[in-house]
Amino acid sequence: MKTRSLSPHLRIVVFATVVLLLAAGCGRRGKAPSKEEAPTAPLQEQQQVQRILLYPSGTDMLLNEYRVEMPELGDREKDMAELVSRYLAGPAGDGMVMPFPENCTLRAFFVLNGNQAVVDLAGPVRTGGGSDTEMARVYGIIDTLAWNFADIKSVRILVDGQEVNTLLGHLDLSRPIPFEPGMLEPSIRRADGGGGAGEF
Amino acid sequence: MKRLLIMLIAVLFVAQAVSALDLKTPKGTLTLASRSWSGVEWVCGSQLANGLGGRFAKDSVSGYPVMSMNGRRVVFSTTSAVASVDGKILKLKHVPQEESGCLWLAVGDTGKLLSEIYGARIAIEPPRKSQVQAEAGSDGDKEGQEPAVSVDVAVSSDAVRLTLTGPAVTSATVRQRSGSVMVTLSGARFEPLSQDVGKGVVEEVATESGRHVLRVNLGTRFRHMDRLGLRNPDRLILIFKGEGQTVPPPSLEVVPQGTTSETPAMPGRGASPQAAPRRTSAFDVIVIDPGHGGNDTGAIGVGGIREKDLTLVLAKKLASDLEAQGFKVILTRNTDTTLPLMERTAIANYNKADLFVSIHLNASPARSARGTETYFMSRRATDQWSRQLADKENAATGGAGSSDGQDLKLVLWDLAQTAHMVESQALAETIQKEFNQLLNTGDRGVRQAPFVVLEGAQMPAVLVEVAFLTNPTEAKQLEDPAFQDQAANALDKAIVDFKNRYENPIAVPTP
Repeated sequence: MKTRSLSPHLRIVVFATVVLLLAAGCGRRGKAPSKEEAPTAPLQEQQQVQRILLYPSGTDMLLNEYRVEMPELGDREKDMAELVSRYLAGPAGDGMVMPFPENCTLRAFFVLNGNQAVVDLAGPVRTGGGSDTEMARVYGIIDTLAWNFADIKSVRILVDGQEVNTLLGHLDLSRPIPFEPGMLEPSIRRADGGGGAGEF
Repeated sequence: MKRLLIMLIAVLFVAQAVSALDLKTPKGTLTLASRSWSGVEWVCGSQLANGLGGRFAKDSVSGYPVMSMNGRRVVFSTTSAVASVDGKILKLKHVPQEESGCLWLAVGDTGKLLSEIYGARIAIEPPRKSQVQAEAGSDGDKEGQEPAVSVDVAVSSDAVRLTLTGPAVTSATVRQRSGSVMVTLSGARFEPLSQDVGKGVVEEVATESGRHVLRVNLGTRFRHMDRLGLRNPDRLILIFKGEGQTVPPPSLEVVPQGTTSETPAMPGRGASPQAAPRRTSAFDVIVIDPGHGGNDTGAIGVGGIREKDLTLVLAKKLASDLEAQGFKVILTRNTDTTLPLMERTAIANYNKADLFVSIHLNASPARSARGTETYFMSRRATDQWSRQLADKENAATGGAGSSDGQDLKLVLWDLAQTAHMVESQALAETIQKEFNQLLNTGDRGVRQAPFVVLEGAQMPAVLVEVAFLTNPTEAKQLEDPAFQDQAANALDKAIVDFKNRYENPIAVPTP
């Protein structure tokens, strides 16, 4: 079968487009952030960094590592926001389970007091049921943030800009929830019970 | 001028005896009951409120002690060292204690509270040590060397429960004589106590023999004594039972099984008062919570089966099993009705349940997920929330203040379960064991999570995820009445087993 090779110029354009899309968190299911959230640094100056997303990997719904390369935007909050957006895009195969339904997006993100992340979600994040589903959704985001950014100690989850008492009728989301190492696969838990940031 | 007077009050607050403190006020001397526990001096806060023209009462809904003074409303927690003054959180040094009709406040905390109430710095001097020791007896020198054992007296209409808490109390000797029971400590002393109970089952509880002995004078209605020992902390619990009376009072609105009322046993919900079941033992009231309901369908399983329907079926079957064994069972809902999560816990608290069991069915994006898991409250989350409470208090002390409704809610409800987590864990493990043995479902183990429905429970509380609606095999089983009976039976057996372990967990020496 004959294939047409792209011109060098077109290759650069395609590559830049793909990298931009990834940097904007527009993955398989995710929604691209607004222009204001997009990285402003020139593309060629962006560093790629390995991040770890924590998704359920089996029927026990314990979270396991899913490694991705992401651009480092040079702004801590933007890096965190991109991480959550990337998380909501879901894993690609590899036996991982996506706990959120399709079309869930990050509406807003900010950090309070330097250690409490506030994650504002949009989309059908409250559809479905079961403790396991709710635990995987909530701790998937919390533990992923804390795993990659050690100074994040807890996460407050909002839905459509509003405080919610619970997502699916079990977990108390009226207050920030701390990182929970018990949700991690035993093979990746650290002995000190802390997050994984700083390992890479 | 008013502030000056209040400051004078504080400075002249001087102990005169171990059992009373005199408070000099512009209107005269106010004598308050006082006592010493574990080296801390306590005053009767209820008397303090009344003496200073305030009012002390129990909140009609939450049951928490509330003091009204100088136009301020103070809500106390009796499980955490915090109080709320018009919604502003104050961290106390010691947890207020309810006993003998008093809300006991540590002397140091009393000064802090009065400072907040009157808006002036008030320091209260504790009783002089020499006076305390002189009152303790001729061998008072040894008192400081021997650990103290506290005695809590709880009185219900047909029973009196003594909770003795302190080092090695479970090795105390309990001797029943004609008309009295003597509890003798070795190497420890009881904290001073002389209480006229006067309920017919027990007449009086008092320490004697240098406070190494606790004497319980039995009343004419006394019939039987149960005792049990518990660890972490060491506790010896003595339950004196009478002839048995109908409880609770008519206003309690118990909804018995088989009724069609949509409202469970809560005040002000309009349910018709029903004949109260007879109390059969000191551990006998169980609240079962069928998860979800009404607008909240919960998980939808294979074939469209709904979690809210099956949890109700299982809860009714379990209630029937437990009632057949003499338990008083209250369902948070017995129809398909919407019920807020915190209201479910409130029903258990209001009815002074001994256990709270919330029944759920699981769901997972991984369709092959199967098995039972049982949750109790997350220590990690409650620890963090406690720290946040302390941080808020520190901010408030620094003048920033903190008075939103969330704080008050935190004090009133959210940390209640922390006092029962050891028992909750034991109950969760017992349930898992029974499910593994009886149903041979996949053992997903005991887990911890900050679940809304658990955190406000003032009794051992668990949430059971019986099986997965999203697993085709388990969904089919869950619709099978025979499997439902087995699942209810597993829960019933676990609860009975827990009751037996709770009442007889370790051997208590007998003479």
